[in-house]
Amino acid sequence: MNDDTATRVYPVSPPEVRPTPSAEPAQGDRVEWLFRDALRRRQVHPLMELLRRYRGQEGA
Amino acid sequence: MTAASASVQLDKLRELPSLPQVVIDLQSALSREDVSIDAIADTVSLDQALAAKALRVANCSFYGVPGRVVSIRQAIGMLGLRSVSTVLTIAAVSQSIPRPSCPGFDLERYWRHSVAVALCARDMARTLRLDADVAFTAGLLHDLGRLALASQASARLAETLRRRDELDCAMLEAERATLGTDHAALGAQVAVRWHFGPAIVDAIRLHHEPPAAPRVTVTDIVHIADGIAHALDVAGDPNEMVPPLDPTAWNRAGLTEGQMLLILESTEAEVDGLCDALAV
Repeated sequence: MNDDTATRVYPVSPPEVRPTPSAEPAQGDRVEWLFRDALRRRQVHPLMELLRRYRGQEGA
Repeated sequence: MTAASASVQLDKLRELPSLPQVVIDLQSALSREDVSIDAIADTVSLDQALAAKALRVANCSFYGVPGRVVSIRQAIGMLGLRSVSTVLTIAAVSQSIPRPSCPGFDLERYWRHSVAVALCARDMARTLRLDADVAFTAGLLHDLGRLALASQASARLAETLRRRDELDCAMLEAERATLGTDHAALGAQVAVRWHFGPAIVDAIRLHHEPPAAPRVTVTDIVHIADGIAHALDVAGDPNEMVPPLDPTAWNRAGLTEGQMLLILESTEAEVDGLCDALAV
């Protein structure tokens, strides 16, 4: 068994100041909303395009 | 709050009840060759609530059994001991944790997400020729720490949920900053107490950070299945957010787009039926 994280303790910290989170657009792109964390970090998420294709295929 | 005082409050997790002995016995029996199916069936049948729930799950469309399964012995004959063990584990976990009452924690959404991860992990394991029962159980229990927190430390979880909502950050991030630990580590502690095997404990502990491995593991599968279940939005959480995906775990799985699309489809199709059978 891998015990790498068994006793790991993270520093408890006060909330940091961040930009106000964007509200979900009323008629916005739900996929974009779901992947907002990756988009904010400018990270490519392998599931994002897959999900778009799946939703497109489903509606076809 | 310091990490030490947070830890004191999280000690309440140790007060969680044990799983029924029959489920612990089954877990250990599966690793032995001299298993008596009759003895197991007799023992399971003594726990009427557990047996009834297990039969209800065995009879749902998820297992695709023709006709009706009416006894545990018949269930073992038709589904096999491993699948019956999985069914019993599901039934036992869902009835062993006291129903949480925590502002912001929705038990129905919790189980819908867990069931989706379990179904998706099972399908991925079958495609990749890994142990589908282990993958299913690990998927079902991957967020066990969150359920334990909701049940035993609801004020701490409520504080964490508020922080997540205020910052619109990932739950894992909010847990580490608020509790000094996270649901993955806490869930693994509960799973060890409940005598689950190392593959399941590792998958629970490391499902957000799968370690390097020479080939695909159950932990990789649960990590990816968790991302898929969030992406499919099965829980209907207004604050839903897909967690980061480890590209090395994704590459180790190496599933084609066609395989992935089939897995997404079957996961969505089966969630409602299994949630109904579990009555969760």
